[in-house]
Amino acid sequence: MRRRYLGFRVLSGSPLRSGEVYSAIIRSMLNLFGARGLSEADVKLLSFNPSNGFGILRCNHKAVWMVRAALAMVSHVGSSEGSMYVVRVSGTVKALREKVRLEESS
Amino acid sequence: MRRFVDLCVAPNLDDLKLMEEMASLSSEMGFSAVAVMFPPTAGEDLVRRVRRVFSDHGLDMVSRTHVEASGRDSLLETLRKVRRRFEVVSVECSSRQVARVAARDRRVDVLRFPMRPEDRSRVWFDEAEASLSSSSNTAYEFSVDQLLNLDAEALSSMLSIVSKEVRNAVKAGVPIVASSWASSPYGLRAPRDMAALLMLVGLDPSEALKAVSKTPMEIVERNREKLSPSYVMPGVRVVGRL
Repeated sequence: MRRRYLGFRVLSGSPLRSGEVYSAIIRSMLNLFGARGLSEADVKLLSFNPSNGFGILRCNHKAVWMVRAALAMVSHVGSSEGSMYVVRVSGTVKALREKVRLEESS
Repeated sequence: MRRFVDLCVAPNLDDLKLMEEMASLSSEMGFSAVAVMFPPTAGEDLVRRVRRVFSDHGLDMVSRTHVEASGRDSLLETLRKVRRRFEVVSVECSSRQVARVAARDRRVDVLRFPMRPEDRSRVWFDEAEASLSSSSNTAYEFSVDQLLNLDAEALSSMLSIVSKEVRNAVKAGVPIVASSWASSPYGLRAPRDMAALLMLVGLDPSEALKAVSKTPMEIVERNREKLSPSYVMPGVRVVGRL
């Protein structure tokens, strides 16, 4: 199965744990696409850095738009107001990290 | 390269810090242009001041106003007052009468329908509305904020209504635009994420991307040309005076 890696950023007024971020994403996926959509998307949170709000998600390559839509629908993370947006999408984690690093240094 | 446009952000215009945060984030998300919502009574000074904030972050600021009218006469009167002062004019279709008049009027760029699902089932973008909009080239607006903070039941009915509206718009050839209507940085969404939401309501990927890039940009460019002093009528402009 081909996969895609999505680099995303979380905006929130309070410090977040990766568990809170992951459950906000899963809740949103379930709300929009149900359990079947969630299983087809095969979403997994690979990393999340609470200090800069940057995280990496892995999903099925056909489900990138679904994950994007689910992230766009997030309006609360944990107990506070928050939102998420996709920074970059890539075929490998290494390429994703490089692209994001290049963008941030430019 | 694709130029992305958020056709509506609605920050508190007195809060400079908030506007700077929103401008910085919009630029980071990849937008080239952002339409800021002004009250219909806003003066040129305010527009200039806000334009400076957004241009400091490399963004093209578009002035937009949103008309909320109670009936036909007040809508027409407000449109007369605002059309030459703002680059984008949208109308809140709060009643069927207002929606029909707005859809027919060429001075209106964008139609927006009620946010709450129970109001939306009363006034919505039906086939007759789509046909009128198509003849006047008025766009249908998909705003992200209408889908946020809804419980599962309200969200499902909203998605169902919006899907029908999008289908009517596509069938009648009405331009579709997407915007965030964000009043704070938390309300902003990245352009491709907004396009993904449009795919959720039935638009195909290329049309969804057009709704956050080409279509809103065409509206802005068309209106800027109309507002320029050299404009006479479509296809006619003053190139010099004797």
